[in-house]
Amino acid sequence: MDDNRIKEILVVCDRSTEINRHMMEIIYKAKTIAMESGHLVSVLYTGNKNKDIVKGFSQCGADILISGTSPNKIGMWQFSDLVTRWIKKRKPQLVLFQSTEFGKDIAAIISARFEAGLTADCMDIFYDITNGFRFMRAAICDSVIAQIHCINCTMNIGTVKEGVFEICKLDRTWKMEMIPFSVEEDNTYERETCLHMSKEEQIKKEINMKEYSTVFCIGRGASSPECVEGIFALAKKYNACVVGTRPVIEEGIIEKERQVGQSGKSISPKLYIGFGVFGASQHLVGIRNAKKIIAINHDPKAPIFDYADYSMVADVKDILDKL
Amino acid sequence: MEKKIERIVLCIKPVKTDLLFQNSNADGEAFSMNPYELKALENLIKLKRNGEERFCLTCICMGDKKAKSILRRALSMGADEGILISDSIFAGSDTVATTYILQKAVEKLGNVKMIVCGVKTIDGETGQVPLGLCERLGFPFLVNGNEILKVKDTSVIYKYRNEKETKIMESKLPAVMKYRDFKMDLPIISLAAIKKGKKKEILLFDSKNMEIDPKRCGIKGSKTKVIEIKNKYNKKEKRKLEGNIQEMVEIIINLLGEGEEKKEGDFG
Repeated sequence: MDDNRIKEILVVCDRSTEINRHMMEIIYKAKTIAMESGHLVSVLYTGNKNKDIVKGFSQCGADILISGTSPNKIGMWQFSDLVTRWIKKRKPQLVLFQSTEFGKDIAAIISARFEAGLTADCMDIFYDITNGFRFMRAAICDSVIAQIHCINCTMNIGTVKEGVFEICKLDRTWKMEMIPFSVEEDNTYERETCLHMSKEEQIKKEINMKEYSTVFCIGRGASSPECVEGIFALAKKYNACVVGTRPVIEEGIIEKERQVGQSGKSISPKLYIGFGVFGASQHLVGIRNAKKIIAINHDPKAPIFDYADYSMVADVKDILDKL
Repeated sequence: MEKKIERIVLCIKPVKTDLLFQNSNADGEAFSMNPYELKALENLIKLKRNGEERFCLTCICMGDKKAKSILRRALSMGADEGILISDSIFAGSDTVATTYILQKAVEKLGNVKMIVCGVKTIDGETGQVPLGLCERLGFPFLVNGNEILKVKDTSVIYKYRNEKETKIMESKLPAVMKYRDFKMDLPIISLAAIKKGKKKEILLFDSKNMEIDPKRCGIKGSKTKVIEIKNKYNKKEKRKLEGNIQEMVEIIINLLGEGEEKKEGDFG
């Protein structure tokens, strides 16, 4: 290709109708890199575009907004073809996707299609002239950080999880170019059909663990009814979220939604207190981002003590009685 | 010769046993099946045992010779074919190179109507292989499943579950399925089954018999390179307390107090 082509970073937004925080975080990060590298930031977006939304994109640093409509009708392959079209036209050097199920799927398809290096769930991205782009990502159950560099290819792809980067609105308004495109409805793409659907029976109030800064975890060592009752009472007092390890969930002591670990959710509270949690690696994976960990267990050899800030070798019942 | 039975290919990623079972080295082998693929394997074997389904269950595994034990186990459990994809030039392949190699393997096998891959591996956790493979093979369907219920001639019926709903879905074939359920326990295999499994041959696919372009695999064909790996967790300054319950309780109350000042939310 010609050498004086425009250097571009493309941010691909999911097929959502509105601009969201996650998109803004990535666009702002792209802009931060672009300011050093001299790239342009273009954003591919298929949602609504009223004045506020358009302003939102320019405020976080988009130079070009490639915008289309009818987001809900686009299937995975169609969306991939759309992205392909833009990549072929603009030849961006870096393409960033949202690390959602949809964004990751599209990124993986594009990676294979263009034989381009893809780093999933980046935690950071750097640029320098000699080395180009560098990506950081956690691997092996979040226990190590790998620095990844793309080789043998001109395009780099990354996906970014929500909340990894911060948003900063730029104080001056950028001149943003709008490029519209049309998405034709194409029925040649077949999809799977749903034969039967059943809603999960109890639609309870969803437990959003991320909203809580304090989390109490019930482990097998605290699964007696008195302990569970005591922990819930204490949680109410301190506005903490109660979660559990797999054995406790499997025994039906608390709901599945509250499971934390490899087969449950990952959490990053300011304070985590493990009541009778032994610390199987599958559970520890889910709490590794907790800022402070207090572990209470009667077994001094419990593996959770290796990860705890405060290791308390005691009977959960004795502690609960005094709290 | 009777009509060729179509294949379902299960891609099994060997993962380090230590990652799965930290405390016990129960089976003494360095590698185990990625837990998503283990669950899928059991699911498919069960379907075969029920008898109605007619498909050849082919397990493919990419790795060095050590990965052979995984295929041996899969065969003992009831898989029909085991293919080891192994060559020194494959070492260091990233997802772009891996999907190319797997594509060549599937094409060499031929007669494949469905490919099942775990939604992700527990070591790399990229989840990119099923998508890339689907793209490369040009399979029209890519589906997410928690359980395969029925394999028909031209379609598959499966269960998809998320936090809000469970759906029974039908997709036409050929398709690639991302299998979303997993199993952490080791399967128990009877001695008789192990003997039976030993009689089945494990085929070796290498760069020559798959007609692989050496420039497209291994480190040469990879598009990403890990430059450096750092341990994320610096050792914390730990405090270990024993015996004095009152002191423990005070520490907990103090720490809880810090959190409370910052946030006043509604009670959940």
